[in-house]
Amino acid sequence: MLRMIGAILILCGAGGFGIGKAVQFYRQLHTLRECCNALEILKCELNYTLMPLPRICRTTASRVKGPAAQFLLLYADKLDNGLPRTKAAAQSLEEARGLTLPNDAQMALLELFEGLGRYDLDGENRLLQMTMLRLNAAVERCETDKKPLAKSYAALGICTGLALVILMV
Amino acid sequence: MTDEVRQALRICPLAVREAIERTPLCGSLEEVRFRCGTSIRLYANRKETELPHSTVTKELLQDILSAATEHSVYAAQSTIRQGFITLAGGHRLGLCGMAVEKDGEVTTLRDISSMNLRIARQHLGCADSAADYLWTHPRSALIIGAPASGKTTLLRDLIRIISDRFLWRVSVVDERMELACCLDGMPQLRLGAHTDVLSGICKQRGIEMLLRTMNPQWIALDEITAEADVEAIVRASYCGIRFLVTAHAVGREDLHHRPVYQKLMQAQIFENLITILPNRQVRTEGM
Repeated sequence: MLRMIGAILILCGAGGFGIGKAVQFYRQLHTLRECCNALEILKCELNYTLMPLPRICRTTASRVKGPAAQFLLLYADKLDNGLPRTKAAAQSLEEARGLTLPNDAQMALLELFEGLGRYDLDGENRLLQMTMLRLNAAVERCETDKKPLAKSYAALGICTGLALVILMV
Repeated sequence: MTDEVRQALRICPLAVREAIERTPLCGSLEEVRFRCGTSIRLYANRKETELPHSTVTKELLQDILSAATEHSVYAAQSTIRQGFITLAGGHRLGLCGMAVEKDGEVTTLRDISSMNLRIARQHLGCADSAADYLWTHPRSALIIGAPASGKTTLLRDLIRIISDRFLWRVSVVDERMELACCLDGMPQLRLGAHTDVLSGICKQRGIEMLLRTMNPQWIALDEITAEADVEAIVRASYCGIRFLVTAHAVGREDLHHRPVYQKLMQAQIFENLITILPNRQVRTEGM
């Protein structure tokens, strides 16, 4: 009986680790897509309403979900509290819970929110367009390079668990 | 310190704000002037005084500009190119610097060298006598006065009184967002229960839109400066609309000397003249 419980625990532990890694990857991909979506909405709001940045960020946050929305809300609050853009962007990226992004995407977002609001409408649009291209490239890279890797992690975790069970039992 | 002053000073960094708040003039503050390389100057009760131990730096001007635009230059660009930014509450930040031109038009101002923060106040009741006169002479009225004499303040109160007390339908073209100072659709200053406000639009187009959509009895405009505005007023007056308009002129003679107002005088649209005298008394008379 004890052996049985031990075997199940080992299998669950190893399998859970592998599946956890895969879930982490899918979550990252999902967050990346949410960020792309948020930037699309932000661009539309900016061009249509010409509202100040904190208000546009709040409107956008109400229309997206998860860490991207949280990041935008934090950024808007920090700007309203008088923090300069650079600090507001860096601190919001750090504080937004669950905002796990690949490094290149994180850099792209940081550079965007450090610069947004400094130029005329043309400049803002160009900046947003460039960042959207970088984020879309990050999504593509995730899908082509990491998707198979995530599946491998899940399979490897379960297989390792099974191997350990066989060896120990 | 009054709420208006507190609201206007929100664009200043904390240290500057606290230093201004400590001065005895703070409650009656009318203007704060920032000129790069000099000390901050406070204007109150018709006197200019220096804020002790203060120096205006390039960085300070940048910080104020950033706060005034809510970190969004694009949102205030149309007014920045005209040299000012309207703040929440109707306060106005005037700008001076290097104008950047493209195709003969100013696209923006860079290297800001000086700023003038003008604090807007609503003086309820300051237009009582003018409103009484309008009640007995309900025809278009032109409000004139020297710069900074309180034309906008008088117009704002006049709109409020004729809307609330006389129940006249008033539409306002608030081009510079100084009359109603709408924020998220809510007027920050009282303009009356029968008043509709169209903000951020040029006067000419605003008059046409209001005529088509709001069926106003009165249209109120602040600071007529362009011939296009005069033409729009003349056209609208043919539809039976009455106007409340302010103009920069010290007196009746001055008004007749200015080319932009000559057409307005010739059209005989205005039958009432409201003059703000140098001692801030209001004189009402027929044209």
